[in-house]
Amino acid sequence: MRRLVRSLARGVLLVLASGMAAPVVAQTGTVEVGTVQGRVHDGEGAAVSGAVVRIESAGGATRSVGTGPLGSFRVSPLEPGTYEVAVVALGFAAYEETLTLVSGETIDLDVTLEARAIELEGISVEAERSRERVRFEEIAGVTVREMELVDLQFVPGVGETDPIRAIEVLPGVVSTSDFSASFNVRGGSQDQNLVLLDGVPIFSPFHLGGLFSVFNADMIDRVELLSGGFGAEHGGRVSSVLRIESEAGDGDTGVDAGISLLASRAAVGGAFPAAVADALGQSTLRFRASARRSYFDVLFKPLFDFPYHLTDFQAVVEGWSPGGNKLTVTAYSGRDVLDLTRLEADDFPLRIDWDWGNDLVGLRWTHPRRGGGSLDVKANVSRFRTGLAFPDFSDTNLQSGISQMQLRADLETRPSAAWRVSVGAGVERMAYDNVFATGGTRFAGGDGTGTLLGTHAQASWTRPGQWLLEAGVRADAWLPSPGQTTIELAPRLALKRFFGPDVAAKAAVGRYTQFLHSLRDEEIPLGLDIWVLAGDRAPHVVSDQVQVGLEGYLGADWFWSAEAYLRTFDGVVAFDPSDDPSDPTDDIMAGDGVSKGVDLFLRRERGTVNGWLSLSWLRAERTFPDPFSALGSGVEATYAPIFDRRIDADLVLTYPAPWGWEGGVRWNFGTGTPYTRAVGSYAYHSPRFLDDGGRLRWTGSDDEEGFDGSYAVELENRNASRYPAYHRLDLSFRKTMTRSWGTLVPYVNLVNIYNQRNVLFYFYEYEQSPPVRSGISMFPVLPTVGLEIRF
Amino acid sequence: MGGRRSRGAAALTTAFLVGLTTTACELQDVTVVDVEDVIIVEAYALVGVDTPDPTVRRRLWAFVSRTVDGEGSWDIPPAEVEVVRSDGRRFVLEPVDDENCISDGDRARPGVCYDAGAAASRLRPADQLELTVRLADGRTLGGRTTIPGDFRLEQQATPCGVPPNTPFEVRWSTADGASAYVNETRIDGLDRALEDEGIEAPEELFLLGLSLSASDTTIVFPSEFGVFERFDLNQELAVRLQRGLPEETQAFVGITATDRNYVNWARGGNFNPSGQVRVPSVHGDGSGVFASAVLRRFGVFAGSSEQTNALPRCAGTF
Repeated sequence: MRRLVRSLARGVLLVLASGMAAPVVAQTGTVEVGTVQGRVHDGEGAAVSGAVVRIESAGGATRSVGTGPLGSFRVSPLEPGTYEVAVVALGFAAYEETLTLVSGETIDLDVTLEARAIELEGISVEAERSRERVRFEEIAGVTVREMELVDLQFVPGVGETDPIRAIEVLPGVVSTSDFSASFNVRGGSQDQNLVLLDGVPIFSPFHLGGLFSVFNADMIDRVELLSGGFGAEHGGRVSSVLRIESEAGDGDTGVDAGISLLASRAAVGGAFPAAVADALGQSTLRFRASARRSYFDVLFKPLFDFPYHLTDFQAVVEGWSPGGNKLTVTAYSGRDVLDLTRLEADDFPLRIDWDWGNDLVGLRWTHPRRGGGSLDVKANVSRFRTGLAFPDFSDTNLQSGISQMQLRADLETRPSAAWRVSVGAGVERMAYDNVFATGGTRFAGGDGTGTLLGTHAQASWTRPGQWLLEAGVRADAWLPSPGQTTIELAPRLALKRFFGPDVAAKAAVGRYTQFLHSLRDEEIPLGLDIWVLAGDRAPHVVSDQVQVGLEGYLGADWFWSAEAYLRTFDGVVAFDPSDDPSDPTDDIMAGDGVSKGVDLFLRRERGTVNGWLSLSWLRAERTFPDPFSALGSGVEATYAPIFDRRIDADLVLTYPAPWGWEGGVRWNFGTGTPYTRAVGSYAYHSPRFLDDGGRLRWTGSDDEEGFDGSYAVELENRNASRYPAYHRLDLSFRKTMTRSWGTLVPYVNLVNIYNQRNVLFYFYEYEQSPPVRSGISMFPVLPTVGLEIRF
Repeated sequence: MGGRRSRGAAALTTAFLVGLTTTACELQDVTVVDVEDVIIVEAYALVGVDTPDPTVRRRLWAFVSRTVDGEGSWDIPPAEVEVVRSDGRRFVLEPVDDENCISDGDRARPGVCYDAGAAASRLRPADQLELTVRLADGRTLGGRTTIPGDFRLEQQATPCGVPPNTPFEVRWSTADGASAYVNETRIDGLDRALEDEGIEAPEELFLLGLSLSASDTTIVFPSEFGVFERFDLNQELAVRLQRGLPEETQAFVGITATDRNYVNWARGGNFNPSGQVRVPSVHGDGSGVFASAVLRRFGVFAGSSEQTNALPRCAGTF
């Protein structure tokens, strides 16, 4: 692997050296090129991102760029001359201006767009295309797949729109079960995905043990999955970054409410009074807040006690200063509560109260720099906690939690049209505490802290339409307690070569590090993460990754991409079922892994029928010590992990359905995932030492069958078998009904429309006569309905 | 009427959803499968010490069985079973009646019992033992164990007396090489003692507790016993025992230092939907456990009578 990385890096440098010679020659001419740059904002000073800035020369040549998150844009190089500048954006009147650019001049524009009530059809599509196009033209390494709210809404799901469930349809993403929203990206473990809500890490973003994500779609602007080739600014996880961006709204007062079979919810948006904004030095201060709660416990109360409910609260406040500075405050708090203390003893004898959830608060200040670039300062805290209480037994303490405080600053500058330089530094303080104690003894647990000091620098160079190069390095110092300080240097290099305006080849190599793990057994579809930090108990993860690909546009409508990747993972972990209880530091096994694959993506971005097709091939392996080996201790086993789905295909379409409805289709096909087959079972005995001389007692009875602990199983080699192929067709229908007071949107989701019995588990029951294999399936055909209201 | 209708609709909806989910989630495909013939050996070396009775009870035995096939053909090939101590002493385990390995009520389980008989009296704490099982069909299995070191209970006198409804902490010294202490109790007389409180209880109740790791050498009696029975036990009884033994009940308490092989076999490994997975310490042409343990025990009387008060007070009484 290292040789491969070195060879690729050498090749990239050679190509870079030959490419950089050209601009040196071009700059020796007597005419110096100029630049048009600036910032686009609305009448209240809030940046308009995604606006299209189109510059047309007197000769008719046109250049278009999109504005960034701070409304900034830059068009360069431009020959001296007269240009027509037009700026268009969804919901705003077009801005037009004529300007004359002289040799070597840089013109700064401050564009104010006026809101327009009637939105022109086509503008949003053009802006959208532009953002994708900007990414295609300006980013070399990272693979970004974006889904806006409207995309998310048309991916059929159970209950309501779920941003994390929806990304399962993207290339390189594997979901192993209908019952779990956790996901694996390009052969990485599920704990190797960094999930960010407005830049704030959230540790376990799931409700109901993983069945749903915690994100309320009413609050979401868009979701971006970064599945590989990350730049130096990214640290913390090695497999993917999932960015969930909140929608702060446009400042107009409004309410979005909804009810689904999962929960009822309401979101309120608006603007703070001008006096408040002024007092805080802001020209505008907008907010949006939502609350969500499941209601089965209330609905069924007259009939029976339904012991579970979930709650979410999410809020975002966004302020824009007169100078264009952006201030964002994000908050989230969610809880799942499983209260079995009020059930009848006949229904559930043991009184248990179990709750879990995440809390986070993030503060972000972004200062735009002239000519592009920004200074971005973030401070946030995030935590996840779960606790299981037995009110009748004070000797029981089962809880787990992790918390993180983070402070980081990133500076991006654009010293010239060709160069973009970013540097940054951050400090993170993390702590975890897991206790599983009952009956006066501690069955498992551990605690620790860690401080991560990280810094990065990255330079990007471009020769527009020909070359893009990104070179960077990240340095992380991890100071765990208990444990030894670790310093990791992680170089990143990416190159993109354009073949004409619509086709490019790209390559990226890099090293990535991660200093925390989840010990959750991924083979159990429902469950909670048990987080531990790297240190004395667990190693840190080092992952070397290389990816190469081709991507481009077919006309204006179609985007396509093909990427191949190879990844190694050193330092992945799992619980050691044979640890020494007297050694508190040996309960985690360290292993390694490798994955390779190819992701194909074809997306139609405009038209009455649009959507995408993704096709992924993956081969993943993990190697761990094997405590179950017949050969005794010290033996390692290499196996395909459960997310090694070799072929995964997703077809997603949105189309105009009859009678004014809009339709969504998702068809998913995946080859079978691995499992470990039981090859036999035996009666399990337990010795009774006290008064029976140690004689064995069978732990079951002849009246019972399976699942009572009475039979233990012998297994074949780990994950040597595979379940049958998985496939499922889902449909969704939405209808937007405009009324004088607002909008009603009823929707219907039909999951697994042809009731395919995809296998969740096989059970091998050898004590039966004859021995049989039975099993249970994942979701059957599952219709759900809901209603959204906006006013 | 409206309320009744809405409740009926809700119930119907629930029933529909639950019914749909449960019926549709069972795979209709049920396939007959072949069984792999795997020999399972469950072998134990026990050094038992009844405190303060100097009687020493030591045992060495192996129960040889195989994976079940549902057809009732339980043939186990004859085997030669022997254990060799690190000083070279050989213990030959002979086939004996199943009762020597398996409790009476469980004799229907298939298998052959092998026992070292009186020779086991030579076993000592800290002995290193190697097990070999050679089956007539050529299959061979083996494993190793080191008997935990001896330890002493703080509670020397047996039986001891404790006031009713008074939990007390049982303490003992560390046993070298132990990975856990299996804490067992059999409480007698609960049915009569709790009759007036309206709590149903069996005449004899067996509860299991655990102290994990060599250094965890305490457990509160009886409240921290029964942790594995809490899902099955009458909750009123379980909660009542948190307050201590009721008046006029007696109990035997056993503290058994066990080795790592025992712990691995007992606690199970990774999740598998077909059943518990055990971490073996017997390897080769089969699987199983070769574990060792050192047992000490004492008796407890709970009461306020003169007879109970005359007993030595149980150490660690709160």
